Amino acid sequence: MKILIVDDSATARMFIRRCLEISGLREAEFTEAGNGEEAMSLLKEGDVSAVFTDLNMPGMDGETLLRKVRSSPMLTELPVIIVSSAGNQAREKKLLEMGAAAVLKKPPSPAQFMGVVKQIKGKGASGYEG
Amino acid sequence: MKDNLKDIDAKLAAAVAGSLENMIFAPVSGGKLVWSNLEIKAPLKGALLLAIPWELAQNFTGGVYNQEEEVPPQLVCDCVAEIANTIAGQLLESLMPEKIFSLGLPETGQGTSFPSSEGMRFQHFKIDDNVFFIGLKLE
Repeated sequence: MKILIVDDSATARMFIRRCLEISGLREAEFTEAGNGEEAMSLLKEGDVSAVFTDLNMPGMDGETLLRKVRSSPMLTELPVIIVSSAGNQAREKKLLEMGAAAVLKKPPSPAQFMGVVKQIKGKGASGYEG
Repeated sequence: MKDNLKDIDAKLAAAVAGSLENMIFAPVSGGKLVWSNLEIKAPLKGALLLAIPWELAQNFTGGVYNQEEEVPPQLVCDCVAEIANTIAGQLLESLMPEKIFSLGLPETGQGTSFPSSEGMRFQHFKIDDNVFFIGLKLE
């Protein structure tokens, strides 16, 4: 299982990865991107089972990335989980309407990730296949 | 006149030590800071500035990366920026849970020259015996 973590902060990517490992994804392969453009390039390579993305990033932000993933025929089923400091109740509602699988607030904790990890494990990979 | 301002940081540290060691008879130590400044864009306008002693920031970063040896300076700055970003998010959520808010990208640096702190309210915080500062401006 391959997980893509998208955040412009190396520290945030490390936190998220640790939380995911503690939450049951110790065996997963992790790949990282610093913004939405880099993430889209990696998604085109295929095999990604879930994306965890920040919102506020230089270049393509997380909201645009979510929109692009949701509008791509090859990625419609790919779970996109938002992990952001700007993910409050008001924003969460909007992001869920846009197709986010979940919205998690920074600082991330393993407990926050448990339910999401269960959901991903049940789904399997749904990235680009061609 | 400009020549007189050379090495101002070292001269300030010496002035602080020279004053306080004679006034309160206690040793004084200091050092450089690492800071991160984050613009608050909406719905309120303002900024949050986090300034941490370099050694404390290195300890934080070493803890995150599980590294006992010295961590690279860019990781220390990145860690401080992420902390500032997270604090700003928590604060804005508690102030306005019903509003969508927007933060800028953090600006980070080392040393004593901060971006403008005009109009900021400052508070100090402590972790063990290490003091750090947060400046906040909201309009």
